[in-house]
Amino acid sequence: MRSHDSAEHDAAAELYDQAVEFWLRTLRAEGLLVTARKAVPLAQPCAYHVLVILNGVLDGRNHEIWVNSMLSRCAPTNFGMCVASLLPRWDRLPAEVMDTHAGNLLLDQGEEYEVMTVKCWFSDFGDFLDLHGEAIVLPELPRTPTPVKSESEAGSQAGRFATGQGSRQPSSHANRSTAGHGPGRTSKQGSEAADEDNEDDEESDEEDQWESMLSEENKKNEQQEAHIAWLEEQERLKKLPQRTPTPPPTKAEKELAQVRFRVVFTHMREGCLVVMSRSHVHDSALLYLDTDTNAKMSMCACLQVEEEICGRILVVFAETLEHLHEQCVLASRAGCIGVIVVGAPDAEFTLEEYKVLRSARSSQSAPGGQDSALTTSHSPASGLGNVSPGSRVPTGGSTRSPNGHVHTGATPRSPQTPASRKPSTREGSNKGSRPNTQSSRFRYGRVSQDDGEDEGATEHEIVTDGKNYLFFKIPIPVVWVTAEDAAYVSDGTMVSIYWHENLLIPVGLTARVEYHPVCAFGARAHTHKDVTLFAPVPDHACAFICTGGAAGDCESRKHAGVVDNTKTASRN
Amino acid sequence: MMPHAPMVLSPRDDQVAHLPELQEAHEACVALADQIRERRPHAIVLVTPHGVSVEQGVTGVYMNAWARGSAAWSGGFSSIQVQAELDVLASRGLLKAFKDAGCRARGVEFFGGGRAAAQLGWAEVVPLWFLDDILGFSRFVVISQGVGEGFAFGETHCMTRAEAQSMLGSVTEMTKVGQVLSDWADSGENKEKRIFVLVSAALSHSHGGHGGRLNRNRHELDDGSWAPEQLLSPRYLSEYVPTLVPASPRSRLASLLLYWQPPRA
Repeated sequence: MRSHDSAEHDAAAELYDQAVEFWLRTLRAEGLLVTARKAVPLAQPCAYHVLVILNGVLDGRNHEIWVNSMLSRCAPTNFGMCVASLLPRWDRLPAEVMDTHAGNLLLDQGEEYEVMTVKCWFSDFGDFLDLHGEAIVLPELPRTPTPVKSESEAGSQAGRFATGQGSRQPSSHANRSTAGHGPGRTSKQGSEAADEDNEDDEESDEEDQWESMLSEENKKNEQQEAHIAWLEEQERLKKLPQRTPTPPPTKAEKELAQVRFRVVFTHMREGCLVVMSRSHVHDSALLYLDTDTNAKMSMCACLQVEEEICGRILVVFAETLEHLHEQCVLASRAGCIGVIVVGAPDAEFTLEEYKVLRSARSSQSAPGGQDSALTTSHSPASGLGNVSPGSRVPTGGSTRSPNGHVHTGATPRSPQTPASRKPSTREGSNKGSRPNTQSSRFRYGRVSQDDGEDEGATEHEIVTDGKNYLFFKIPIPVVWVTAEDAAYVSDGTMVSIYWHENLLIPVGLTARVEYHPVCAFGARAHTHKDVTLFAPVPDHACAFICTGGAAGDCESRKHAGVVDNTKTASRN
Repeated sequence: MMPHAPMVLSPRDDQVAHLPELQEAHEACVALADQIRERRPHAIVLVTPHGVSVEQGVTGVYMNAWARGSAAWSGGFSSIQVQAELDVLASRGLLKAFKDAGCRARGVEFFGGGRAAAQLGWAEVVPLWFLDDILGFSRFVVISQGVGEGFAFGETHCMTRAEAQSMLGSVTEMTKVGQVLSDWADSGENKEKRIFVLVSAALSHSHGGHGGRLNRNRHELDDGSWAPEQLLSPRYLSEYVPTLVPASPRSRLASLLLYWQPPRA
């Protein structure tokens, strides 16, 4: 008798636990409210009504926003245990509550790394932040206009009209057809009636053709208007003040750069390493790792293409567009899901260069575009971009990858000689102060490790025929980072530290102004309040990678402690 | 959702070291706490079934400014203590939302309020212990939910706590409480806040065929005598139950198929 009762209770307990697990996995309430409820009297849980409360919390919400994870369900004793989480997807959170902390560094407790100070800012192709001047909001380029009909096509269309309707014009035909209808025509003979039917059919055909012509005209007008608007925007952009060169580092900056901060990354678990991204980057690159690896970020690993980067994010130093393209192509072939481009000190991408990149991105469907060729072939991917007034030609840049697969640039390059390289003032000035920068860059950042040869300067890395640029397509999501420096970790890990001590001084802009364009772009943008909260924390470096996306709670970030650089106080 | 059995806090304890599943549950709790921690919630609504239980299943919202307690259970775990700051404004807002919606909710103030701390028991301390490092910047709202009938008052109705939970009226009322909680979290006052609902809950208590006898207030044993009082004590549960050999999944499934019947009326 007792054994029967025991088995009955045990079975009910198992059924109850399974039903709860079913409910948590599927969010189908019948698992809890029907199946589990039936088993409650025998299973005797202590918190069935609390689970019903949770079910009420979830009731009426879109289940698609939840990410369910059943972490554990077990019954080590007579008590069943369940650990589960229902968390909203990051990209479905409202902008104002979308958190900025997307992951932690996978570092052991107490591990210390040495990093250098960094001043960097982030953008992506969707947003462009001109750190040194006015925010540039590039308009969406109009789609490539549909080619104007050739004369042969026009003639053939006219021929079709001529074939169907003789030499009549559509308007005259319409007038005639409306005048031709009348009650007296019903008394005509059968053959005439058949002719009338045929004429009716032809009339309807003509009307259809007429409508199609009108729609084509409208479409053409819209394209012309868009093109005119784009040209006006180009004119407006031309009038904008030129980007002022970054001033050479001050003495204080040099001293700052010489200090190697001791950063305890375990403090970053408080949420100082922040990934903010727009939705498209969000989905495809940055947070991809986070969602899969339980919000643990490995994106900071700075790997070379030759290494295993499949499914990871490559952090590279790209000095030129060509270099960027080269590394992106290599990375994409290796299975990399995203690239964070950190500009070296001499990587000062101009607005014109950015426009080229953007045009490359916008006109993927342009004739000559080789969307898939980047990841499948070794040929350079180039296409037609729109004209943008560029005066600065990027300097440096590697000419080939270590395996020699990629030869970017659509035109023959000038021979690489040491003399042809344009030394960067910034680079030269920083050589003494940051002796490890170059080595680290070659060690970790550069895909093409052509240490033995000088990087030749190309006279025209972006070839223009006067109207169009030959651009480089980026096959994978790229987060744009311009940095004067980056943080290096001895094991190859690289982090970019937003050092807002330097943010305000050399830039000359407040964070509010700097981030204003992000706000303008909307989506999940920063608010001014969010950004300006960085300023009151001068003694802390806050690392974040912002692609112009979701605003986070900077207030809590301010209190998060961020990187503990209190030890650097001794430098003064 | 986190379990609240204190033994999950120390899976390597000698008494429970032979239960590998406990270690698994412990690690899962740590992982869940990581998920919560890295989202840095502004407020965490902790729903506990073992807090202050008021008659007729009144929902109790702790109104003290802070709370503390230990996971003391069955003579052990008393050294595991937490203290957390309660979000008074959020508690007031939630209580008002409950009342406005017609829920049977009352504010619960321990020791007359003031600087006194609300007392937490093991059912609250165990989940909070895993979130110990965010107690400094996340505030809590504690909801203690009793059952409509039964439990301490169930002897009158000869109804166990579990049976009372599954009554249709209780389910309906709890669903409403959850909906109000959800609406409150979405309300304007909580805009730009990240609010988490943490449910302290265990599953069945009758695994291995023993829960039914242990948890009933009165039960007749095979020899016709009443179950000894210690069978109902936590000490018995902690010392005796772990020695039980849990049934294998195969036998559980077999018993499920063989003996499962609809609950008795």
